[in-house]
Amino acid sequence: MLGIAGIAVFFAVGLIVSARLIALWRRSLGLPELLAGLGLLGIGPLGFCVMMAGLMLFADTTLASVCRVTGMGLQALGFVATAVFTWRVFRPGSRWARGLSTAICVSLGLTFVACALAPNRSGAMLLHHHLDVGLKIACLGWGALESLRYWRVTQRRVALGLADPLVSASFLAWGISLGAGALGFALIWMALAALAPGERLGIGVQLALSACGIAAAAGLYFAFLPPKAYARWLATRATARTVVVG
Amino acid sequence: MTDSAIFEFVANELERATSLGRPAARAAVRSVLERALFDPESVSADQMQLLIERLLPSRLRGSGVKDADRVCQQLAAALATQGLAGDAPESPDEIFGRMIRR
Repeated sequence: MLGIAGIAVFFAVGLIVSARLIALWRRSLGLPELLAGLGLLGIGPLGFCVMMAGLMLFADTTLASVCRVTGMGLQALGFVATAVFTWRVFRPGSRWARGLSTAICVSLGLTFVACALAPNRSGAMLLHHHLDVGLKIACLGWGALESLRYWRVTQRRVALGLADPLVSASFLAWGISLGAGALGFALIWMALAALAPGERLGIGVQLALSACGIAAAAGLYFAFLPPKAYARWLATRATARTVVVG
Repeated sequence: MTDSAIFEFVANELERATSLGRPAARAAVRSVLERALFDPESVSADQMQLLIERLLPSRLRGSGVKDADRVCQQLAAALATQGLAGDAPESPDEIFGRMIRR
């Protein structure tokens, strides 16, 4: 229950932000809005809820398997959208970023098929499950690193009066959100790998997962739905720190 | 990668409008780009406009250019009339700026 609390907060904020981004895409037709919206929706509320619906509502029926595979597929699509978002937004002209993004997408597709065909019925993780989680951590971690790197660049520009402090801070918040997601997946990966079949997650792991969910939700909130007082504080702080040129 | 048409235009105009030689004019433009962590290959026209207004005047004064403010104003106006789109795709700032609720 503790683990679910923080993750539920993340799903609620993720649902609001993704709905807003997709609505924005319908007006602007900008690919990044669509990718970020689908990424959030697939990784968070949609993919997870479909999987949970199968477990809770249709246990031991054919529908449970359908929900599991559908949820996994939606989640895989969310990660694909996130990898493409990172490439298109932060390194659109880079060959290696295009290659990495493509490699992540193709590998996620393959591990999805493998996980769908060979689920871990015994509770023990198989090689393709390890690969699947590893790819998801890599996808989120790469996005976090790119966003935090770009935040450092914009910090310099804010100091010179060349960049918007609110936009700069959104790179920090997005980086924190993706980083918390990567950490959450890494935690659950290690915890599941260490569990004996039938054993439940410990309270410490649940609390850590909850903290990751809350950090990811807070990052999303400050990145895309910043409160006006926060925006004012950033603007005042930037003015005080601006280097006078000349 | 080669320098963008925007960089070439500004460097050439600066060389024409001042007593700076070609290497000095290019070095001046390159130094303001580096200071703000922009690439000469991918800087956009809007970003270059900001740099000309905010950073270039002091850089030119440091190089002994007389009436640096007027030179920069003319440079910015000339760049605006060129309509150079540059090779830069939409920047992360523009994308996130659009996605943030204000």
